[in-house]
Amino acid sequence: MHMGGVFLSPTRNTTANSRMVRHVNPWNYKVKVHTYDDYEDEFREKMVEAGLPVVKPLEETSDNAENKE
Amino acid sequence: MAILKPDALLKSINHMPPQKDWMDVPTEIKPGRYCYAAGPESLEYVGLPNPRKWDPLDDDWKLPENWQETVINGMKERLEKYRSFKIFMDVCVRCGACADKCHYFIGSGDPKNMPVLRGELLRSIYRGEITKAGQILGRFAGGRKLTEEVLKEIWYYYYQCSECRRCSVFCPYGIDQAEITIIGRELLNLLGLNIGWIAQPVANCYRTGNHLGIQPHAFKDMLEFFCEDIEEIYGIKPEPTFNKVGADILFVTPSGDVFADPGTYTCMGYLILFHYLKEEYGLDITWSTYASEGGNFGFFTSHEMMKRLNAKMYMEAKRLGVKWILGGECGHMWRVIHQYMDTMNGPADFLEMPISPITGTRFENAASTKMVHIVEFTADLIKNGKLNLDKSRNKNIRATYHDSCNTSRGMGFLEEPRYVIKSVLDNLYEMPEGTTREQTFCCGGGSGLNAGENEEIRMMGGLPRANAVKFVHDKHDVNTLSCICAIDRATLTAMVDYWVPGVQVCGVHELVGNALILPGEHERETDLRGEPLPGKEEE
Repeated sequence: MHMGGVFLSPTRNTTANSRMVRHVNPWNYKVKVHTYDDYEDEFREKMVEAGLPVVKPLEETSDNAENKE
Repeated sequence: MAILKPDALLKSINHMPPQKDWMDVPTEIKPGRYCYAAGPESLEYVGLPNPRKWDPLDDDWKLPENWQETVINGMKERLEKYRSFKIFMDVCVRCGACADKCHYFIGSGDPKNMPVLRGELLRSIYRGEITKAGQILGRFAGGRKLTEEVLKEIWYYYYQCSECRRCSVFCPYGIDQAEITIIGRELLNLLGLNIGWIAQPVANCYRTGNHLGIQPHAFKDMLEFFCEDIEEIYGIKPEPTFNKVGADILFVTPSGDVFADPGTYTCMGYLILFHYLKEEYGLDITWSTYASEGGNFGFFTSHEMMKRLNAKMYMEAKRLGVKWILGGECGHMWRVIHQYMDTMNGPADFLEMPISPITGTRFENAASTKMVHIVEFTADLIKNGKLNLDKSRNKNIRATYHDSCNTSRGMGFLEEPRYVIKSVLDNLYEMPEGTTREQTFCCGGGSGLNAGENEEIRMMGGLPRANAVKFVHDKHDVNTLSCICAIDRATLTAMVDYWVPGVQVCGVHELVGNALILPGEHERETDLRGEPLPGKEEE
């Protein structure tokens, strides 16, 4: 059981090249993320006020909101 | 909680272990050594299990009904998924080579802070609940059952490990306690047992893009405020761009640089450098308010949470259409980028091979992640003679360099910071061998443990590093501890104030910012901190 560590220890036997070469994880799965669209939807008004660029202009989103009503 | 004076704390450290076997020594959760529990709001926001109010000092931790099953099944699942965890659970021969290498053991004398025993806290569950030998032979095979008392012990000591990996350097097998702690914390998170200092930044980062919860307009305001300060010093005001589609490069740095001294001076260093590169070479670097955090406290929660927070960097780089990403000075941010980002959120096939547009250097070492460290970027600029530097402005600084655990041990990043520092000042003194490079000591507050309520263990954990700083302070009159990590800048400042007063902490790009001669600048009187430059003291 202990012998395995000599040959299999990842810290001792793998190269630190993970920025240079992509290592694929076979069970890598999709996760829930907070997208830019979600972010802009929450902060759009403040972003526009501060002069930050936005993808959807304020007018467009307020028009949509009115249409929904 | 008031902490003892340094002399008294030093005298209180006792390395004599108790007479009883470790399994028979009950764990007492001591104020000053643990962090407050995570609030339910933070857990709810990102959908983590069992959000509720609880207190580590209470008897009842309000665990879910089937908590033992959850932990044991969670452990079985991770033994399948992570080869490192499986091997590290099986191969330890308890030789003890790691025991006196942990800064928390050196500083506290608590045997359960020896990496071998910290690992054993979880390994004993693996033996007692999962392996056949342990189930039959029980304690004889090093096994024990998962009781509430055992769970509390694991919680207490797994939030006294800063995942610095120093133990792994000395272990003949390379057993990396950080990997075990990462899994241990992941299991604790299945029961909602996170700490507030980690869970709150995670929720903030998910929502606003950064740990401190700085909203987009405030993020911009803060950087513009720095630009005004720079204008006072240089007579020139940088004009950074934000969320700019079509910029050459996206820059991501820890939000600690934007918010907390002395990281703010490092941030000013970045702004000065980018202004210089824009003016001299037309390089267009943009900041993002959405991907406004380099650090990743998700890494201290679970692999999944790390991935969820890290995803923003690539998503934002894709949206903005930049060529590649440049990353600021941070420790665990770079551990995540170096070790996990490409595997978890790659391939970054929408980005280009990182090539410095100024020097033509191909960053082959980042060929797949497409993300370059700002210190290697600056080192390349200096090496190719592209920066106009005046070392004499840093003449008052007698520096030493603290290798951050994550950049040195975690990614082998050793020479570039030293090269940059030597290029911007004359007086750099190394701390003693065995305390630098791969064998560097932790700042005492890594892996989300830089809270206020656990100050005692932070100062204890910082002792070995402080001891080495004191050595160069006494011998060479060193007055500045430089580093390339935002958590270091925060924790080392408090740590040197406590153990080695008279030493200030700075980032490497603060020193670069001081030395860089901006085209058209007026005669400068002060450095970035507003202190008079050498020769300007009496004017």
